[in-house]
Amino acid sequence: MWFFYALIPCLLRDGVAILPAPQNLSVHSTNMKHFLMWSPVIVPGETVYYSVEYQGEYERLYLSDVWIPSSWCSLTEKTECDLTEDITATVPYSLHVRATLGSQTSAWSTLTHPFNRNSTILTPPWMDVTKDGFHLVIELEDLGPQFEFLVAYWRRESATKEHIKMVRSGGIPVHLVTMEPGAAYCVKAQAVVKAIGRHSAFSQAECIEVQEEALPLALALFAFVGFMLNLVAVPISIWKMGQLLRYSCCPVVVLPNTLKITSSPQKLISCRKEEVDACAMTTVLSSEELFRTWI
Amino acid sequence: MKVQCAALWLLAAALILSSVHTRGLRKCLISMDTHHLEESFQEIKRAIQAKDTFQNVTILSASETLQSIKPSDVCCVTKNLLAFYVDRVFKDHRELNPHILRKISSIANSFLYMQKTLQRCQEQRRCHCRQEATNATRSVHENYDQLEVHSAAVKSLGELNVFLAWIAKNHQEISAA
Repeated sequence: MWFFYALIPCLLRDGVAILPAPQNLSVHSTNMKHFLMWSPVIVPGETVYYSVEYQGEYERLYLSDVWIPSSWCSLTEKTECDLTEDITATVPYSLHVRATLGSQTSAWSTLTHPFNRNSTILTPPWMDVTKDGFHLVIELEDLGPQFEFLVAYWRRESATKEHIKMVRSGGIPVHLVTMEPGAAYCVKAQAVVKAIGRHSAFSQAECIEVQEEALPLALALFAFVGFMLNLVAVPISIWKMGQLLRYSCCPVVVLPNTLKITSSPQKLISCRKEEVDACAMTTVLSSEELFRTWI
Repeated sequence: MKVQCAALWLLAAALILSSVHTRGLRKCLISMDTHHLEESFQEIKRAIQAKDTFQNVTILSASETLQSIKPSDVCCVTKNLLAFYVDRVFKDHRELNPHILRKISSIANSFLYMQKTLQRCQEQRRCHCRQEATNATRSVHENYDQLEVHSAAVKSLGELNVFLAWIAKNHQEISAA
């Protein structure tokens, strides 16, 4: 900083101070987001503003006097400029920046080497791997419309059998595969940018396991026991029903012991004579007489 | 019998060679996505076309010129029309509005990138120009020359959507084949 103060007398021309141009221009570009940065111009007690312009290879070759003001960095206080919306072709872009303080403007300070967006750093994409029941689902970070993703997934025990799926955009859950119970699946992904013909490295693989479900086993066991019970219970039930029907419709009449004939019929007939007469008299009573005896 | 067999072999060889040659031409494609270019143009289309004062005249003649281009001539016509826009149209049009200037710059620099892609095909002699293709692009230049240069540039800029749609259709179809 003291260096700038020391230079101030040297910069005076006819008593008018010349604002120094910004120094140390550099471009930082990651995942197709491009930022021009520079060191601040310090003027004590004052706010210095900066303006950035760019020139694509077309302008440089055919319209060398044409520089285009950046979309977001005309008279900005910041010492960085987001040029993502300006650098839209895969050609070298020349960039320059100048400082403004009141009516004073500095000279343009130009980036040493033109910037081509195909030199952007592509990082492995962030991904969230989840399971929804038996479904393997992946959600990748949203890096913008220029990005696609190549997703590779495989069963952990057969790492050589990789399946590939292209995911067109991030920020949306995507179904990869329906998993088999008890198996573990692993997933990795890389970002692909067709506009510059490059891709990132693969992300670290993430593995997810689906448990063997106990419920189907219990159900199977229960079903088996129930089946066996049915095999025994159904015949018994049929037999019982048959018995019930027999008793209801055609009951077997069982004589009480007092009516059971224990002797032969000849013996019964051979009553004594007086007993026969008494038996006979008894049997002659008419129904009217019977009724009187009841009353 | 031997003569017949030889003739059949020659015919088969000729068919194979011609299909390989055609496939070689077909593979000379611009693999970039033109969707963002079409979007860029849509943003400035109304402003550009509003400046066109010769509504009854067309320079690209979409229905006659571009639609009748054969697949084998696509590379040549694409190359020639890209040069038409890069060497003449964008240079002849001086835009003062910063927003429109940014969009035209985006399209112009993208066309430069496409030219570099096709340049490789040209170096490998996979972008041959037949007479029909040359005639088609000559008529575009003739239409352009009939108007005053700034009016012609504005009109050609206003017809960019026609050219971009043609690129998207032809390079996509062939790559899908």
